[in-house]
Amino acid sequence: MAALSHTPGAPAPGDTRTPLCALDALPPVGQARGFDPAKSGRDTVFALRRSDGIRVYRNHCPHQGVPLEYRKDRFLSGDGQRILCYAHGAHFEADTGLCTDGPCRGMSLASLPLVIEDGWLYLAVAPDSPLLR
Amino acid sequence: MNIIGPDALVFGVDDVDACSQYLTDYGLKPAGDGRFEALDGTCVIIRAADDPRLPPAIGPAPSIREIVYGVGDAATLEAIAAELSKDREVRRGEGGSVHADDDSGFHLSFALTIRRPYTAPADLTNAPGHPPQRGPNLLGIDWDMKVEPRTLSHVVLFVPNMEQAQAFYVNRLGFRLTDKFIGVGPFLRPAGTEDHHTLFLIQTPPFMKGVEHFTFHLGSGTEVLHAGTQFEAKGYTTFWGPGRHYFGSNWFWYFNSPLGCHVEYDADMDLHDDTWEARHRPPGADNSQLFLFTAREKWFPSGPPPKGGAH
Ligand code: FES
Ligand SMILES: [Fe+2]
Repeated sequence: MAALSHTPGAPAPGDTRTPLCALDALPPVGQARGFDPAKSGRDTVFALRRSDGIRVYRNHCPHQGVPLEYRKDRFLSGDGQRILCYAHGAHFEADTGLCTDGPCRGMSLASLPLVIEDGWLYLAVAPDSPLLR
Repeated sequence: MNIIGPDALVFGVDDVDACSQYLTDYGLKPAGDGRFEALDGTCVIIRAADDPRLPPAIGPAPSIREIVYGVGDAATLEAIAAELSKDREVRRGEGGSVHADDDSGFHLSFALTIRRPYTAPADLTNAPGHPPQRGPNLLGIDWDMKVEPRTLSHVVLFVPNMEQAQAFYVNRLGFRLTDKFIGVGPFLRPAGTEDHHTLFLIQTPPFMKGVEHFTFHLGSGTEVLHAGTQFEAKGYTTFWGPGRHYFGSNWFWYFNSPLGCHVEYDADMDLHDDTWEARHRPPGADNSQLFLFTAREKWFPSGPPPKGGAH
């Protein structure tokens, strides 16, 4: 596999990874951040820190396939401990993406594989993957 | 029974600050003690989910805790109290208010309406073939056009049994059926208003019980587009719209919200009286809207000069 460029953000054809952000640009535990890695015009994935590491989920509610947040980067409950779909109020475990309450109870958010390298957070997903649209 | 419509919606939430910011950005006026008002005084009330003043919750916070109906006269309060105490617990409160649960378990209260008279401008239209509404030199729009929610329009509930829920509002409280999505739910109008609906019920599994959305009337379709564009520019997430509904003819634009339901801007709804015959149509994209758009960033059909100069 080709070495990763040190100026991420300019995906090239054949990439199997998609850069999201520098690790220190990720907010602390209790907050989340949305990303639009495929430049689709809205945030299609979101990342959050947990005590044991980082999670990245598709911004796609299993109930109706729509974005979860009510406002830019607002994906979490008031206490920052759960993910909420602010369309119909589904509650998800932040660690696993499992829906514990709401219309899609028992279903899960799609969790995306990630790679951390040289202080950067990458998705182990090609930039043109349909997962990012 | 002279029930006018919802005067207040009371929510128990986990993030009071986020909800307060949201409702203020939406255009309601903070009036203190968690109250956010439209021009006529109808309002949304936000409280912490564990506030002891709130009736018990139906689901996890954030969620609706009480729907307050405004009525036109004291006789209506007595009539409601007499009717509902036939088969359920009814509590009387300040000013003769009546408190009881509906057949789906939503906490309702009824009180003399808080709606105050107000005037606000109409969006005047120049339509060829019809006398102009805006004469010479009157401008249709303005950069600083202010859009203010005027009055609480309607609330939409997810209910586990919409036939039973409809029967309660129609047979016990005198609501009229204006239109119905077959198998999904009825649009209902109480006797004290001509608005196409102040209540729409949607059949869902029991664990989804709650508010689907609520909306305040704006002054026009233009106001819906303008207010929604500004709300989106503040970073809020569109759920559906902008577009124009078939039943009710109202313009719509729905947003996600931290209140646990969608919040809509709507305008220009049909009026009906008791001579109207309800339409029954199957639900679906075609029957629910005349048209639907997706907002995009402002754009201008020009751009940088072509590379290499003009031909
Ligand atoms: S779309 Fe997420 S709860 Fe309905
Ligand atoms: Fe609506």
